[in-house]
Amino acid sequence: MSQYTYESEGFILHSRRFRENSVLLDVLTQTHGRVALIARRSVAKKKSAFNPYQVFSEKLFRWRGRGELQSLQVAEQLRVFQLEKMNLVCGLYCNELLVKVTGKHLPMDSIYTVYRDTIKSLASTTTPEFPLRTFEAKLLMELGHALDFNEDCQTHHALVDATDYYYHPEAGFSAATLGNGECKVSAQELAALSAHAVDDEHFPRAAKLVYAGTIKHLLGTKTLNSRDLYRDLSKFKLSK
Amino acid sequence: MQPKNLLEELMESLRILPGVGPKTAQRMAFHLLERERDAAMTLATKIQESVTRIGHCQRCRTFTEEEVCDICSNKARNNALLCVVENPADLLVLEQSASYRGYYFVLMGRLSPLDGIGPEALGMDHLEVILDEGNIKEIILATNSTVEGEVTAHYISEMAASRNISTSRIAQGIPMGGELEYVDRQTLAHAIEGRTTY
Repeated sequence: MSQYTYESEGFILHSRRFRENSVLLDVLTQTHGRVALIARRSVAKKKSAFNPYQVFSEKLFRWRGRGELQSLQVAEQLRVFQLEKMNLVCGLYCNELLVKVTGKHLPMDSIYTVYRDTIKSLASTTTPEFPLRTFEAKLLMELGHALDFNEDCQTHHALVDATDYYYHPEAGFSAATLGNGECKVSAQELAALSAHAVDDEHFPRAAKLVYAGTIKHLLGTKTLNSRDLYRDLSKFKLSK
Repeated sequence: MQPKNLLEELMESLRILPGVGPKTAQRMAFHLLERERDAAMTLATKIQESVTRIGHCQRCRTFTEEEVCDICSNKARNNALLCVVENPADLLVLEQSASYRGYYFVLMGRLSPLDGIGPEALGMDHLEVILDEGNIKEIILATNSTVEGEVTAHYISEMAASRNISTSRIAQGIPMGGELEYVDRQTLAHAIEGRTTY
């Protein structure tokens, strides 16, 4: 392989048509992090009804180039994960989150593994919340925003098992309120969160609130459209 | 930089058409000017008229020059069936197949969170109004078999389920005249899952 040719397993996070014969791909690769690739569709492929650049399939990518947008040479399909219905929306949420909170060309081997495990789980589970919360927790950890369960962010004393705490995305857990943007978690919820006990009844509500708060802080002014879609769908379910 | 002459401007304008590059645009421009001047005038008038007069059907959102399109005005069609498609081109191929006699709803796109295309952009609020009228008994989801098409189909199926309206999805599998050897793995998996009694 030449100096500027690369090869890695990866997942397409997003694809969109570019001009007549090309597709722009946002790919999460195992060895090079997120890369932007341009795929020029051959005449045969262009006339085919099949779009080879679907998300949620693991491919072996070979690409070349030096700039921000590099040129795809080969995308060989390795595994396909069939996500359906609500799990499909959850998968799109993972993709949108990765695109909006991670940078390009930063090697993210562990995030790649977490993403692949999450997509694999979403392809088989009936309870997508568990793999989603695990994905959020590990992604935040990899991005340097792991939750600190060791000390009160105001007093710097160790967290006490039997106390309820406020969680503030910018500061952490605190026994005293810090004002806007925080959520309250009970002592049991804190224990379940700390142990990442997804099966614990106290885990889901607190994990959803705490991780959502941190992600919102990370996103700044950006919004997650897939989350709005999930909310809309949940409303339909409730009104049945 | 020298201002472009009219011929260059015509060639550049023709390049907005799909599949037309600089060479083809040049051929088209010369062809129109050398051999088809009258037809070129008719073409120009028709394009102008179409762009001015063709809008969206108030009912199904497909392209029409009337307030309500011919299909939606046709009382002989089955008003208990509604087929949801992504584009007017999809509606046209379904009509050409002569296999469906209900009404349509054209989304003019599909849900795509990363492209910022949400339910409002696809007229889902308008679809809710149609469903609330109470005539539709079944929705046929004929969105594309892509991730975005599937998400869109799921959204509409949940919207319908909340109103006790049944939904069906067009079958996915081996095309007519297709040989298994050349069919991709995903399509084959769908075909096996969706097999019917023979």
